[in-house]
Amino acid sequence: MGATRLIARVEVRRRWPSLVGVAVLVALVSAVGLFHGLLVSTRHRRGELAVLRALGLRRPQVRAAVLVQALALTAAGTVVGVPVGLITGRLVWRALVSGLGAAADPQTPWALMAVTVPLAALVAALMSWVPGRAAVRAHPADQLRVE
Amino acid sequence: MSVTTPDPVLQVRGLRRTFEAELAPVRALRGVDLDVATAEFVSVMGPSGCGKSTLLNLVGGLDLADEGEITLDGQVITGRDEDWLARMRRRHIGIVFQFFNLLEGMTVLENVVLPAMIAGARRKGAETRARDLLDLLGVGARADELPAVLSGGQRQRLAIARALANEPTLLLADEPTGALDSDGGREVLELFRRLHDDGQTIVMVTHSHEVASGADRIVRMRDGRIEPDGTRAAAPVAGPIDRGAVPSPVGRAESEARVTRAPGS
Repeated sequence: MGATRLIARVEVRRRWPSLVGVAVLVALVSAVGLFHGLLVSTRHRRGELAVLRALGLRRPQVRAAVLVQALALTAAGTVVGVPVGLITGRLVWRALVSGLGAAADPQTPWALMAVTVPLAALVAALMSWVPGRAAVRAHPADQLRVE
Repeated sequence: MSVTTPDPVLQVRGLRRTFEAELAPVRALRGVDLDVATAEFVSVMGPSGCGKSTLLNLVGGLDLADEGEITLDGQVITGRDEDWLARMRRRHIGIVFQFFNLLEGMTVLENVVLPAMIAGARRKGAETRARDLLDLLGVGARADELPAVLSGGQRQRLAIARALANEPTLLLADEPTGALDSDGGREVLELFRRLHDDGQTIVMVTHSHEVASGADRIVRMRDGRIEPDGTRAAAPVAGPIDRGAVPSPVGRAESEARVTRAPGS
Protein backbone atom coordinates (compact mmCIF):
# COMPACT_ATOMS: atom_id res chain seq x y z
CA MET A 1 0.00 0.00 0.00
CA GLY A 2 2.76 2.43 1.03
CA ALA A 3 4.83 1.68 -2.05
CA THR A 4 1.82 2.13 -4.33
CA ARG A 5 0.99 5.47 -2.83
CA LEU A 6 4.61 6.53 -3.23
CA ILE A 7 4.62 5.50 -6.89
CA ALA A 8 1.36 7.32 -7.47
CA ARG A 9 2.72 10.44 -5.80
CA VAL A 10 5.82 10.34 -7.91
CA GLU A 11 3.64 9.99 -10.97
CA VAL A 12 1.57 13.00 -9.92
CA ARG A 13 4.72 15.00 -9.11
CA ARG A 14 6.09 14.18 -12.55
CA ARG A 15 2.92 15.39 -14.19
CA TRP A 16 2.46 18.29 -11.77
CA PRO A 17 3.55 21.07 -14.19
CA SER A 18 1.11 19.93 -16.83
CA LEU A 19 -1.67 19.52 -14.23
CA VAL A 20 -1.02 23.03 -12.94
CA GLY A 21 -0.94 24.26 -16.53
CA VAL A 22 -4.32 22.72 -17.24
CA ALA A 23 -5.73 24.20 -14.03
CA VAL A 24 -4.38 27.68 -14.87
CA LEU A 25 -5.73 27.38 -18.40
CA VAL A 26 -9.17 26.40 -17.09
CA ALA A 27 -9.06 29.31 -14.62
CA LEU A 28 -8.08 31.74 -17.38
CA VAL A 29 -10.80 30.49 -19.72
CA SER A 30 -13.30 30.82 -16.86
CA ALA A 31 -12.16 34.38 -16.14
CA VAL A 32 -12.39 35.34 -19.82
CA GLY A 33 -15.81 33.67 -20.01
CA LEU A 34 -16.96 35.61 -16.97
CA PHE A 35 -15.62 38.85 -18.43
CA HIS A 36 -17.30 38.24 -21.77
CA GLY A 37 -20.54 37.18 -20.10
CA LEU A 38 -20.60 40.30 -17.96
CA LEU A 39 -19.80 42.54 -20.91
CA VAL A 40 -22.56 41.01 -23.03
CA SER A 41 -25.02 40.99 -20.15
CA THR A 42 -24.28 44.63 -19.28
CA ARG A 43 -24.66 45.63 -22.92
CA HIS A 44 -27.90 43.68 -23.14
CA ARG A 45 -29.19 45.32 -19.95
CA ARG A 46 -28.03 48.85 -20.68
CA GLY A 47 -31.61 50.03 -21.19
CA GLU A 48 -32.60 48.52 -17.86
CA LEU A 49 -29.57 50.06 -16.16
CA ALA A 50 -30.44 53.43 -17.72
CA VAL A 51 -33.97 53.12 -16.31
CA LEU A 52 -32.51 52.39 -12.89
CA ARG A 53 -30.36 55.49 -13.21
CA ALA A 54 -33.41 57.49 -14.28
CA LEU A 55 -35.08 56.27 -11.08
CA GLY A 56 -32.18 57.65 -9.06
CA LEU A 57 -29.54 54.94 -8.92
CA ARG A 58 -26.09 56.58 -8.75
CA ARG A 59 -23.17 55.44 -10.88
CA PRO A 60 -21.34 53.69 -8.02
CA GLN A 61 -24.53 51.79 -7.30
CA VAL A 62 -24.78 50.67 -10.94
CA ARG A 63 -21.16 49.53 -10.83
CA ALA A 64 -21.94 47.73 -7.58
CA ALA A 65 -24.85 45.96 -9.29
CA VAL A 66 -22.47 44.67 -11.98
CA LEU A 67 -20.00 43.60 -9.27
CA VAL A 68 -22.71 41.73 -7.39
CA GLN A 69 -23.68 39.99 -10.63
CA ALA A 70 -20.05 38.93 -11.15
CA LEU A 71 -19.75 37.69 -7.58
CA ALA A 72 -23.06 35.84 -7.82
CA LEU A 73 -21.92 34.08 -11.01
CA THR A 74 -18.61 33.21 -9.40
CA ALA A 75 -20.31 31.98 -6.25
CA ALA A 76 -22.59 29.78 -8.35
CA GLY A 77 -19.55 28.50 -10.26
CA THR A 78 -17.73 27.81 -7.01
CA VAL A 79 -20.67 26.06 -5.35
CA VAL A 80 -21.05 23.78 -8.36
CA GLY A 81 -17.42 23.63 -9.48
CA VAL A 82 -15.67 22.85 -6.21
CA PRO A 83 -17.70 19.72 -5.33
CA VAL A 84 -17.58 18.56 -8.95
CA GLY A 85 -13.81 19.13 -8.96
CA LEU A 86 -13.35 17.27 -5.71
CA ILE A 87 -15.45 14.32 -6.83
CA THR A 88 -13.74 14.19 -10.23
CA GLY A 89 -10.32 14.44 -8.61
CA ARG A 90 -11.10 11.60 -6.26
CA LEU A 91 -12.37 9.41 -9.10
CA VAL A 92 -9.29 10.11 -11.22
CA TRP A 93 -6.98 9.52 -8.28
CA ARG A 94 -8.63 6.21 -7.45
CA ALA A 95 -8.49 5.13 -11.09
CA LEU A 96 -4.82 6.06 -11.26
CA VAL A 97 -3.92 4.29 -8.07
CA SER A 98 -6.00 1.19 -8.71
CA GLY A 99 -4.30 0.94 -12.08
CA LEU A 100 -1.14 0.41 -10.12
CA GLY A 101 -2.74 -2.52 -8.33
CA ALA A 102 -3.71 -0.91 -5.03
CA ALA A 103 -6.15 1.60 -3.55
CA ALA A 104 -5.31 4.77 -1.68
CA ASP A 105 -7.45 7.48 -0.11
CA PRO A 106 -7.09 10.81 -1.88
CA GLN A 107 -6.44 13.93 0.15
CA THR A 108 -8.69 17.00 0.07
CA PRO A 109 -6.64 20.12 -0.70
CA TRP A 110 -8.23 22.37 1.94
CA ALA A 111 -5.42 24.92 1.85
CA LEU A 112 -5.62 25.26 -1.93
CA MET A 113 -9.39 25.66 -1.72
CA ALA A 114 -9.04 28.29 0.99
CA VAL A 115 -6.89 30.32 -1.41
CA THR A 116 -8.90 29.59 -4.56
CA VAL A 117 -12.27 30.82 -3.32
CA PRO A 118 -11.19 34.36 -2.34
CA LEU A 119 -8.95 34.47 -5.41
CA ALA A 120 -11.98 33.68 -7.59
CA ALA A 121 -13.90 36.50 -5.89
CA LEU A 122 -11.01 38.88 -6.50
CA VAL A 123 -10.81 37.89 -10.17
CA ALA A 124 -14.61 38.35 -10.47
CA ALA A 125 -14.31 41.84 -8.98
CA LEU A 126 -11.53 42.72 -11.45
CA MET A 127 -13.48 41.26 -14.36
CA SER A 128 -16.53 43.38 -13.43
CA TRP A 129 -14.60 46.65 -13.50
CA VAL A 130 -14.64 47.24 -17.26
CA PRO A 131 -18.30 46.21 -17.81
CA GLY A 132 -19.29 48.28 -14.78
CA ARG A 133 -17.51 51.31 -16.17
CA ALA A 134 -19.07 50.78 -19.59
CA ALA A 135 -22.52 50.63 -17.98
CA VAL A 136 -22.24 54.16 -16.56
CA ARG A 137 -20.12 55.85 -19.21
CA ALA A 138 -22.99 57.36 -21.22
CA HIS A 139 -25.68 59.69 -19.89
CA PRO A 140 -28.93 57.86 -19.12
CA ALA A 141 -30.65 59.85 -21.87
CA ASP A 142 -28.20 58.47 -24.47
CA GLN A 143 -28.91 54.92 -23.39
CA LEU A 144 -32.66 55.44 -23.23
CA ARG A 145 -32.62 57.07 -26.66
CA VAL A 146 -31.09 53.99 -28.32
CA GLU A 147 -33.66 51.64 -26.80
CA MET B 1 -43.19 90.87 -24.18
CA SER B 2 -42.14 88.55 -21.45
CA VAL B 3 -44.59 86.18 -19.81
CA THR B 4 -43.77 85.49 -16.20
CA THR B 5 -45.30 82.65 -14.26
CA PRO B 6 -46.22 83.19 -10.64
CA ASP B 7 -44.53 80.83 -8.22
CA PRO B 8 -42.53 78.85 -10.80
CA VAL B 9 -41.41 75.46 -9.63
CA LEU B 10 -39.36 75.10 -12.79
CA GLN B 11 -37.36 77.83 -14.48
CA VAL B 12 -35.36 77.23 -17.64
CA ARG B 13 -33.14 79.99 -18.98
CA GLY B 14 -31.07 80.06 -22.14
CA LEU B 15 -30.83 76.29 -22.42
CA ARG B 16 -28.62 75.00 -25.21
CA ARG B 17 -27.66 71.47 -26.16
CA THR B 18 -25.73 70.32 -29.21
CA PHE B 19 -25.09 66.70 -30.13
CA GLU B 20 -22.08 65.62 -32.13
CA ALA B 21 -23.05 63.79 -35.31
CA GLU B 22 -21.14 62.30 -38.22
CA LEU B 23 -22.02 64.94 -40.78
CA ALA B 24 -22.52 68.03 -38.64
CA PRO B 25 -23.35 68.88 -35.04
CA VAL B 26 -27.08 68.79 -34.27
CA ARG B 27 -28.19 71.83 -32.33
CA ALA B 28 -31.09 70.26 -30.47
CA LEU B 29 -31.76 73.24 -28.20
CA ARG B 30 -30.84 76.76 -29.22
CA GLY B 31 -31.68 78.84 -26.19
CA VAL B 32 -34.87 77.73 -24.48
CA ASP B 33 -36.62 79.74 -21.76
CA LEU B 34 -39.56 78.26 -19.89
CA ASP B 35 -41.38 78.74 -16.61
CA VAL B 36 -43.71 76.18 -15.09
CA ALA B 37 -45.81 77.09 -12.07
CA THR B 38 -46.52 74.82 -9.14
CA ALA B 39 -49.44 72.49 -9.90
CA GLU B 40 -49.46 73.52 -13.55
CA PHE B 41 -49.97 71.05 -16.40
CA VAL B 42 -47.89 72.10 -19.40
CA SER B 43 -47.66 70.40 -22.77
CA VAL B 44 -44.54 70.90 -24.85
CA MET B 45 -45.57 70.29 -28.42
CA GLY B 46 -43.71 70.20 -31.66
CA PRO B 47 -42.65 68.04 -34.58
CA SER B 48 -40.13 65.22 -34.30
CA GLY B 49 -36.62 66.53 -33.86
CA CYS B 50 -37.65 69.94 -32.54
CA GLY B 51 -35.83 69.34 -29.25
CA LYS B 52 -38.75 68.68 -26.93
CA SER B 53 -37.46 65.34 -25.63
CA THR B 54 -34.00 66.85 -25.20
CA LEU B 55 -35.57 69.59 -23.10
CA LEU B 56 -37.34 66.98 -21.00
CA ASN B 57 -34.14 64.97 -20.54
CA LEU B 58 -32.26 68.06 -19.38
CA VAL B 59 -35.01 69.08 -16.96
CA GLY B 60 -34.99 65.52 -15.62
CA GLY B 61 -31.23 65.55 -15.19
CA LEU B 62 -30.82 62.65 -17.61
CA ASP B 63 -28.52 64.69 -19.82
CA LEU B 64 -26.21 67.66 -19.31
CA ALA B 65 -26.77 71.05 -20.92
CA ASP B 66 -24.04 72.87 -22.82
CA GLU B 67 -25.29 76.29 -21.70
CA GLY B 68 -28.12 77.76 -19.71
CA GLU B 69 -29.65 77.24 -16.32
CA ILE B 70 -32.43 75.08 -14.93
CA THR B 71 -33.85 75.82 -11.51
CA LEU B 72 -36.14 73.25 -9.93
CA ASP B 73 -37.91 73.97 -6.69
CA GLY B 74 -35.41 76.75 -5.96
CA GLN B 75 -32.31 74.65 -6.68
CA VAL B 76 -30.10 75.15 -9.70
CA ILE B 77 -29.63 71.71 -11.23
CA THR B 78 -27.39 72.63 -14.14
CA GLY B 79 -23.63 72.30 -13.68
CA ARG B 80 -24.08 69.41 -11.23
CA ASP B 81 -22.48 66.02 -11.60
CA GLU B 82 -24.49 62.96 -12.52
CA ASP B 83 -24.58 61.50 -9.04
CA TRP B 84 -26.01 64.72 -7.62
CA LEU B 85 -28.60 64.65 -10.38
CA ALA B 86 -29.45 61.03 -9.57
CA ARG B 87 -30.11 61.96 -5.95
CA MET B 88 -32.18 64.94 -7.12
CA ARG B 89 -34.28 62.71 -9.37
CA ARG B 90 -35.16 60.41 -6.49
CA ARG B 91 -37.03 63.12 -4.66
CA HIS B 92 -38.04 65.67 -7.25
CA ILE B 93 -38.56 63.99 -10.61
CA GLY B 94 -40.90 61.29 -11.82
CA ILE B 95 -40.50 60.25 -15.45
CA VAL B 96 -43.00 58.52 -17.71
CA PHE B 97 -41.55 57.23 -20.97
CA GLN B 98 -43.25 56.58 -24.28
CA PHE B 99 -42.32 52.90 -24.25
CA PHE B 100 -42.94 52.47 -20.52
CA ASN B 101 -39.40 51.23 -19.72
CA LEU B 102 -40.68 48.89 -17.05
CA LEU B 103 -38.40 46.36 -15.40
CA GLU B 104 -39.83 43.21 -16.94
CA GLY B 105 -38.19 40.81 -14.49
CA MET B 106 -39.92 42.45 -11.55
CA THR B 107 -43.56 42.20 -10.57
CA VAL B 108 -45.93 45.14 -10.94
CA LEU B 109 -45.59 45.85 -7.22
CA GLU B 110 -41.80 45.60 -7.25
CA ASN B 111 -41.61 48.06 -10.14
CA VAL B 112 -43.34 50.66 -7.95
CA VAL B 113 -41.53 49.74 -4.74
CA LEU B 114 -38.09 50.03 -6.29
CA PRO B 115 -37.85 53.86 -6.69
CA ALA B 116 -38.84 54.34 -3.06
CA MET B 117 -36.23 51.84 -1.95
CA ILE B 118 -33.60 53.52 -4.12
CA ALA B 119 -34.55 56.72 -2.30
CA GLY B 120 -33.92 55.00 1.01
CA ALA B 121 -37.45 54.00 2.07
CA ARG B 122 -38.03 50.84 4.05
CA ARG B 123 -39.58 48.01 2.07
CA LYS B 124 -42.75 47.77 4.17
CA GLY B 125 -43.57 51.46 3.90
CA ALA B 126 -42.68 51.48 0.21
CA GLU B 127 -44.98 48.51 -0.40
CA THR B 128 -47.88 50.14 1.40
CA ARG B 129 -47.57 53.28 -0.70
CA ALA B 130 -47.02 51.25 -3.88
CA ARG B 131 -50.21 49.24 -3.26
CA ASP B 132 -52.14 52.47 -2.64
CA LEU B 133 -50.81 53.94 -5.88
CA LEU B 134 -51.57 50.81 -7.86
CA ASP B 135 -55.11 50.76 -6.47
CA LEU B 136 -55.52 54.43 -7.30
CA LEU B 137 -54.37 53.83 -10.86
CA GLY B 138 -56.52 50.74 -11.31
CA VAL B 139 -53.82 48.07 -11.51
CA GLY B 140 -53.82 47.03 -7.86
CA ALA B 141 -55.32 43.64 -8.71
CA ARG B 142 -52.31 42.84 -10.89
CA ALA B 143 -49.72 43.71 -8.22
CA ASP B 144 -48.13 40.28 -8.10
CA GLU B 145 -48.02 39.69 -11.84
CA LEU B 146 -45.27 40.53 -14.28
CA PRO B 147 -45.68 43.65 -16.45
CA ALA B 148 -45.67 41.52 -19.60
CA VAL B 149 -49.25 40.37 -18.97
CA LEU B 150 -50.62 43.93 -18.80
CA SER B 151 -52.25 45.81 -21.66
CA GLY B 152 -50.53 48.91 -23.07
CA GLY B 153 -52.74 51.26 -21.06
CA GLN B 154 -52.15 49.26 -17.89
CA ARG B 155 -48.42 49.25 -18.51
CA GLN B 156 -48.40 53.01 -18.84
CA ARG B 157 -50.50 53.36 -15.68
CA LEU B 158 -47.94 51.18 -13.93
CA ALA B 159 -45.18 53.45 -15.27
CA ILE B 160 -47.07 56.45 -13.90
CA ALA B 161 -47.43 54.75 -10.52
CA ARG B 162 -43.69 54.15 -10.52
CA ALA B 163 -43.05 57.78 -11.42
CA LEU B 164 -45.24 58.89 -8.50
CA ALA B 165 -43.68 56.51 -5.98
CA ASN B 166 -41.59 59.21 -4.31
CA GLU B 167 -44.20 62.00 -4.58
CA PRO B 168 -42.10 63.97 -7.06
CA THR B 169 -42.14 67.73 -7.33
CA LEU B 170 -42.39 67.42 -11.09
CA LEU B 171 -43.84 64.68 -13.28
CA LEU B 172 -42.24 64.52 -16.71
CA ALA B 173 -43.93 62.57 -19.48
CA ASP B 174 -42.31 61.94 -22.85
CA GLU B 175 -44.99 61.07 -25.43
CA PRO B 176 -46.91 59.09 -22.79
CA THR B 177 -49.68 58.13 -25.22
CA GLY B 178 -47.38 57.57 -28.19
CA ALA B 179 -47.33 53.79 -27.89
CA LEU B 180 -50.99 53.39 -26.93
CA ASP B 181 -54.22 52.90 -28.81
CA SER B 182 -57.07 55.41 -28.45
CA ASP B 183 -58.51 53.83 -25.32
CA GLY B 184 -55.13 53.52 -23.64
CA GLY B 185 -54.24 57.08 -24.56
CA ARG B 186 -57.54 58.38 -23.20
CA GLU B 187 -57.02 56.48 -19.94
CA VAL B 188 -53.58 57.98 -19.50
CA LEU B 189 -54.70 61.52 -20.27
CA GLU B 190 -57.62 61.27 -17.90
CA LEU B 191 -55.20 60.05 -15.27
CA PHE B 192 -52.90 63.02 -15.85
CA ARG B 193 -55.84 65.36 -15.44
CA ARG B 194 -56.81 63.70 -12.18
CA LEU B 195 -53.26 63.99 -10.92
CA HIS B 196 -53.15 67.60 -12.01
CA ASP B 197 -56.44 68.29 -10.22
CA ASP B 198 -54.80 66.87 -7.10
CA GLY B 199 -51.99 69.43 -7.46
CA GLN B 200 -49.34 67.48 -9.36
CA THR B 201 -47.09 69.61 -11.57
CA ILE B 202 -46.79 67.95 -14.97
CA VAL B 203 -44.71 68.68 -18.05
CA MET B 204 -45.72 66.49 -20.95
CA VAL B 205 -44.00 66.28 -24.31
CA THR B 206 -46.09 65.34 -27.31
CA HIS B 207 -46.30 65.91 -31.02
CA SER B 208 -50.08 65.55 -30.97
CA HIS B 209 -52.47 68.50 -30.80
CA GLU B 210 -55.15 66.30 -29.27
CA VAL B 211 -52.96 65.12 -26.45
CA ALA B 212 -51.46 68.56 -25.84
CA SER B 213 -54.89 70.16 -25.59
CA GLY B 214 -55.52 68.28 -22.35
CA ALA B 215 -53.02 70.51 -20.55
CA ASP B 216 -53.42 73.95 -18.96
CA ARG B 217 -50.93 75.44 -21.32
CA ILE B 218 -49.31 74.47 -24.58
CA VAL B 219 -45.75 75.47 -25.33
CA ARG B 220 -44.82 75.02 -28.96
CA MET B 221 -41.29 74.19 -30.05
CA ARG B 222 -39.63 74.29 -33.41
CA ASP B 223 -35.98 73.91 -34.43
CA GLY B 224 -34.70 73.85 -30.88
CA ARG B 225 -36.55 76.96 -29.76
CA ILE B 226 -39.85 77.77 -28.15
CA GLU B 227 -41.91 79.57 -30.73
CA PRO B 228 -42.08 83.23 -29.89
CA ASP B 229 -45.58 83.88 -31.22
CA GLY B 230 -48.36 83.32 -28.74
CA THR B 231 -50.91 81.79 -31.07
CA ARG B 232 -53.76 79.49 -30.27
CA ALA B 233 -53.31 75.77 -30.66
CA ALA B 234 -53.89 74.64 -34.20
CA ALA B 235 -56.96 72.62 -35.06
CA PRO B 236 -56.57 68.97 -34.16
CA VAL B 237 -55.23 66.62 -36.73
CA ALA B 238 -55.98 62.95 -37.19
CA GLY B 239 -54.18 60.87 -34.62
CA PRO B 240 -54.53 57.93 -32.31
CA ILE B 241 -56.78 59.91 -29.97
CA ASP B 242 -59.67 61.84 -31.41
CA ARG B 243 -60.98 65.04 -29.87
CA GLY B 244 -64.10 63.37 -28.54
CA ALA B 245 -62.03 60.82 -26.73
CA VAL B 246 -60.24 63.51 -24.74
CA PRO B 247 -62.85 65.56 -22.94
CA SER B 248 -61.54 68.71 -21.36
CA PRO B 249 -61.70 68.79 -17.61
CA VAL B 250 -64.41 70.82 -15.95
CA GLY B 251 -63.63 74.52 -15.96
CA ARG B 252 -60.76 74.09 -18.34
CA ALA B 253 -62.22 73.96 -21.83
CA GLU B 254 -59.85 73.22 -24.61
CA SER B 255 -60.50 76.66 -26.03
CA GLU B 256 -58.80 78.05 -22.98
CA ALA B 257 -55.62 76.13 -23.65
CA ARG B 258 -53.22 78.73 -24.79
CA VAL B 259 -49.95 78.68 -26.53
CA THR B 260 -47.54 80.61 -24.42
CA ARG B 261 -44.69 82.82 -25.35
CA ALA B 262 -41.32 81.94 -24.07
CA PRO B 263 -40.28 84.12 -21.14
CA GLY B 264 -38.22 86.93 -22.41
CA SER B 265 -39.48 86.74 -25.94
